[in-house]
Amino acid sequence: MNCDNFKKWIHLNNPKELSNAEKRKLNDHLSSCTACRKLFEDVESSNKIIQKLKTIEPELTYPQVLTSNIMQSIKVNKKSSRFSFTSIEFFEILFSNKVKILAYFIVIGLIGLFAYQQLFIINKLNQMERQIAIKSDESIVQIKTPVIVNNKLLMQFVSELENEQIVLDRKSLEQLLETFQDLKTDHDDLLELLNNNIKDLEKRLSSKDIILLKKFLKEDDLVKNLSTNL
Amino acid sequence: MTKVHSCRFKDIQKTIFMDQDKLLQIIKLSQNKDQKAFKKLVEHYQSYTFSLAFKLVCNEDDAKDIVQECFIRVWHHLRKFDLKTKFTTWLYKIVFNLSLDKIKVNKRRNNVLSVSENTAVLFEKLGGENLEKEVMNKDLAQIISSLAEELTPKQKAVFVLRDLQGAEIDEISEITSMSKGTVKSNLYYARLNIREKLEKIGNIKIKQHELR
Ligand SMILES: [Zn+2]
Repeated sequence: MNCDNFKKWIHLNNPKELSNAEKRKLNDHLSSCTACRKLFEDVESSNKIIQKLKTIEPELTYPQVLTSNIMQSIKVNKKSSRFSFTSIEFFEILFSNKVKILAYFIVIGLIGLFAYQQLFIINKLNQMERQIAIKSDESIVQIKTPVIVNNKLLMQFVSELENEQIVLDRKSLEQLLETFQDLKTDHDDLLELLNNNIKDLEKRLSSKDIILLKKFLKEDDLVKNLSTNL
Repeated sequence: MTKVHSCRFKDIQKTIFMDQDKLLQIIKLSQNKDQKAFKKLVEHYQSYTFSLAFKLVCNEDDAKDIVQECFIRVWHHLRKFDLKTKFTTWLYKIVFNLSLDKIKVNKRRNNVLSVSENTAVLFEKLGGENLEKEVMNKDLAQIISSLAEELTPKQKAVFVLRDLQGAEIDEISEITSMSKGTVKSNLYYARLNIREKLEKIGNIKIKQHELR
């Protein structure tokens, strides 16, 4: 070790800046080197002046004014940031906990809404199906009404029946037969039309249906007519 | 020597050693944008912050600007402060960065206080006993800036932090983002330069007997 190394240690002669081993080496050197001992003394003197300087604190004049200025500027900043974000503030707000929580709620809300929509659609479809089913019943029931009962409609009805566009269930058949009974006196031509088509109809009727049909066939013209055909 | 300690210094010491639980509570509230708590934080630390800024930039108005800017940053970034770490270190880091920027701007503007013949007179004051009443902010700025005029901003910062503010090497390393080795070598060059400066002023030899 030469004096240059010790020169550095002399300037850093403080327990927290030099290790104990370094301090020991330095002291050994100082006892044998007058030049370094001279430097050591100069540094000590300089340190004393610095120590004095350390005790002098600048005076903060009008501290209340400074505090209020600071408080004012954070309030101003807060207000303006509502309208114009700096990019850093924007990202801070973007990744702040409040926004994160809000985002979670929005995502959960959207998922919920989607699920509800799906359920709603399924439910609606079911309802529509049911309504359609009811309507198809109704359309037959409606034959009862004088408005619907005309040749054209009946023909259409029969042709739909033939083309299996309309499938009659038991209840519908009952209603159909009732309808014809009610109509027989006023609408002979309709009955005739039906008579002409009854063969086709009977093809699709099961034996059970024929029995049911017979039940409705009474001793009037139509009944005779139908029964001979059956 | 103990008589020399000024009232101002004692106030600052009180501030630095604020009750830890109370400090944590105030910081937590301030993190949640509690303005009343933040005002307390400002009141407690503004003179402490001002002290470092003043010694670094050697100008009262600039130091006040730095303190203001520092607390605005604290307000906006306090959520980033790790409650497990030392608050004053975090605060000093902000002041250090702001002051370094200011020093660089001032250097570019050539605003550095030049050492005048009354610098020697100011140093003689350092040898006197009742310096607390005699040393004004302007004088203190003159003393520090003339001592540190040949130092790089980093050397000056390390010197001020270690020798004038009494910060530990570890803490300075944290504040300045320099390694401990770099802090120590900056400190060495700062002290070497300052000692030579003091000798040049001729203060040491004149005052040596008074100090002993
Ligand atoms: Zn030597």
